[in-house]
Amino acid sequence: MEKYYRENDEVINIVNKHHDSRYGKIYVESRNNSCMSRKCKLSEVKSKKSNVNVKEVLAVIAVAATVMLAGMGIASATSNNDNTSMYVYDKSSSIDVDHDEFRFVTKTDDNGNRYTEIEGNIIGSDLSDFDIYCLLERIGESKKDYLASKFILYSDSEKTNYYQNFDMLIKSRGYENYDDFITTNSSRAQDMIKKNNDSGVFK
Amino acid sequence: MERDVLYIEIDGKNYIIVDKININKIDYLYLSNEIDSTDFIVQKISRENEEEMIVNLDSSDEFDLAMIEFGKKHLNDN
Repeated sequence: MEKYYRENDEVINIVNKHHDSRYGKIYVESRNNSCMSRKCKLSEVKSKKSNVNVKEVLAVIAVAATVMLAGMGIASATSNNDNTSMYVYDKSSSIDVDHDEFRFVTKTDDNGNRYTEIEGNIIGSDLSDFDIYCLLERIGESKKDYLASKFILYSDSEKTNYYQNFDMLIKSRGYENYDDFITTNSSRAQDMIKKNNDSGVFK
Repeated sequence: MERDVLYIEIDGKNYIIVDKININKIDYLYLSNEIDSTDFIVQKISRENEEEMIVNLDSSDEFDLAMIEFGKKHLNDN
């Protein structure tokens, strides 16, 4: 992503060169442009009939937004020929536990259900029980904040003792088990299984 | 198919109001050029002298915030 700040007219032109060109431009008005100097009143808003497909426009802006935010490191945008997958990392949804970052990413599954995916590894690092407890506290807050239906937490570790602690701590938080937290129904989890086929974590 | 839309004229161009999002008690308007959807503007509503005005954002940080909230709202629309 590149930003161009043109001082004369103070228009910020954000251009992304690596994405589909039809989503490639974002303009944002800054101070002292014509609208500002003319002081548009809300009462100047009018109604009309238009052929504009608002849903399509929203999608264009959303894609552009994601591309822009991806460049800022707070979103992820991936695409192939037939499918585009995007989601936003909310800065406030990232926590650091013992120098390991856990990112909370709200997504929507194929059935339209929103859920929060926790990106990070609970095992394979030197997280203590207290660290994991802090993580669980944050998960609880996230569940409340994001109305998430489930959480997915990936692990790539062979240290199952931490995993057992995690199970215990989850139960102590009132959750029956960690099914809500770990899934094997994703390509990423499958990839991790391949990488850690002796860990047994996802069995 | 024609539908009713709200718009405002800026620099001789019609910008359709495609969304309004309240962020930190401020209403942000997302305006799209009627004939070029890649040209869109984020504005906010500000009260000045008891009149509601459509004004520009104060900084690129504010724009980023507006886009983050927009992304969170719409990225999974399709």
